[in-house]
Amino acid sequence: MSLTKTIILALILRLLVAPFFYHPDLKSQHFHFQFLSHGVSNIYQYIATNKNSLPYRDTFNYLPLTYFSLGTYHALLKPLFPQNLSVWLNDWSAAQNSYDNFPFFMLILKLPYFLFDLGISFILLKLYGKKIFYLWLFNPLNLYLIYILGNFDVIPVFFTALSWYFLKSSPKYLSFLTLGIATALKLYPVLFLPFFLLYKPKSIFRNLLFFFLPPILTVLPFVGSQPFINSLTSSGLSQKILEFKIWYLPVFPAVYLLILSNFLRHRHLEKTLLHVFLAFIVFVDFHAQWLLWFLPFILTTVFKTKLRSLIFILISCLCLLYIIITDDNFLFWGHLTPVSPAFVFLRHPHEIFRYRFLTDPYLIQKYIKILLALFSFCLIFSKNEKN
Amino acid sequence: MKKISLLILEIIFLVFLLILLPALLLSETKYFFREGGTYQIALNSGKEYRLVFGHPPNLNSLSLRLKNPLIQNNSRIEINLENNTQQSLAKFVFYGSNVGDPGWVDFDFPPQSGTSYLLKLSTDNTVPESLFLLSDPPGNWDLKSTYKTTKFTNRLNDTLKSFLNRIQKMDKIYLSLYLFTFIGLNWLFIKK
Repeated sequence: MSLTKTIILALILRLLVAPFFYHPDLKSQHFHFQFLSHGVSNIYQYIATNKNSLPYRDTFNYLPLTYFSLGTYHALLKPLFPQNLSVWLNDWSAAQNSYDNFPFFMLILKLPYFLFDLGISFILLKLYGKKIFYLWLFNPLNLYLIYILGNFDVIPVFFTALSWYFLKSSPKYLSFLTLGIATALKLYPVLFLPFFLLYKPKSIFRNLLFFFLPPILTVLPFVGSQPFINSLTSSGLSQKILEFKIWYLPVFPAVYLLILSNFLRHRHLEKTLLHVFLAFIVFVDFHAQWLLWFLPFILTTVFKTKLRSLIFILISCLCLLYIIITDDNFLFWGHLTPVSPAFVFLRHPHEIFRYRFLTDPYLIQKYIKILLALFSFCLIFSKNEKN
Repeated sequence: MKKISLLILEIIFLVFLLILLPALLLSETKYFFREGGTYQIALNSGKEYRLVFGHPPNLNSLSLRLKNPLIQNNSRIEINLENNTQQSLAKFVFYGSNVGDPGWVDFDFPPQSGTSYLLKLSTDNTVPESLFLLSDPPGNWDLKSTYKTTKFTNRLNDTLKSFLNRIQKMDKIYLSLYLFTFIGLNWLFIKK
């Protein structure tokens, strides 16, 4: 299939999925982004001051660049929004899921993701060729993570992939500047930094300078704001990474350091990031959208042989099972709210396990983690080369 | 031929997602969703609390919001659902420990054919101000209810009707743009 036809097919697929699936994170994020068009520059302070009069009172838990970039998209497209989108964003009543234009709300809010998603596919095409390009565009896991969960993680993922591309081909400072932009959007690329720095360990200090430039520039104006500091220190990622401990020792950071020391021996980034990904899904109580962070890097390693592909598909299915038995209907039937608001009231898998099979879903999640650990070992030790 | 079959596949997916899936799974329809009452009716023994309400046929579940502060009261609570001729349709007995602070208590029963009902609540609670029923100030109990559409063909018909009704109410510009892009992309795919 030609490149143009592949892109057309990928767009059709995305147009079929994006409007009809929903997760409330998308709404809560855009609820906050809308305030940029009202002239609010310090969203953290604004929420703290006006908490009692806002229809949605949760804090804004993302970095300033996320607010300014997606807030700008929101402000620019506001005149073109479908009817009632702004009303829906501010409606947190029992009737909030009954808007007739719900599918179009989803489509317009997810529209920027199309661009970054396709952007990643082109980077992968340049880096690894057509097979990985197709795998990215037509992989159901990607479609689920980007268009069903609808989180903006695809944007930092694009910048992280671009950084990897620059690291392999261009002046290195561009790579670290791009990784810095990704970090200014969401903190997780910090996990990738040591590997990128040590991949070709030259001019480390200069590279670090370029990396820290975007986060520092965007965060600096808010350092004096207490609500911002509170939001930054309550980051879900840092808490979850340190959560699982053996003898007071956080396991994921310890395994991460082991992987890093191993990386210094061979400097194979894709293989190493696969190990980080596996450690992450086994030792961290991950949020669904976090899986996307690693995908562009690991596809080439996991789809090398049939056996590896099979194990990876099993791992992906287990991760999905782990996610859907979480006690949150918006991670299962609730996704279909744009089709009908009545889906929210259906019994979700967590309730079915608990009330129909009288089984503790959290116990099942623990068994899934054990299986994930088992399959991760299989993936690591399975043959890397084609027979 | 392959290219045309892609279009058919897309249409099948859309019909499944938008029509068949809701018709298959959504057999219950919400009717009452009255929540947010801050008024508390104290429940005491020797008194019968009554609520008369009208409802579409096939009522199959009711939920009431009760409050048992600190879950300390374990009195017997009896709920009786009757039709307009005061014939008992369903009876539920539970204890204070099954009530939250506050929390919804759900009652499921076979679909009822009537359209007007009387709900009676009584308790043997003797400790004043220790068990409450939540309502709004005029005394309308916080209430959730559902009715069931048992036959698949009826559900399919309802889903189709509400889908067409929804399409008519949708933003026309966006609907046209979506269809235009979707058809345009498919046309391009077939043409290439």
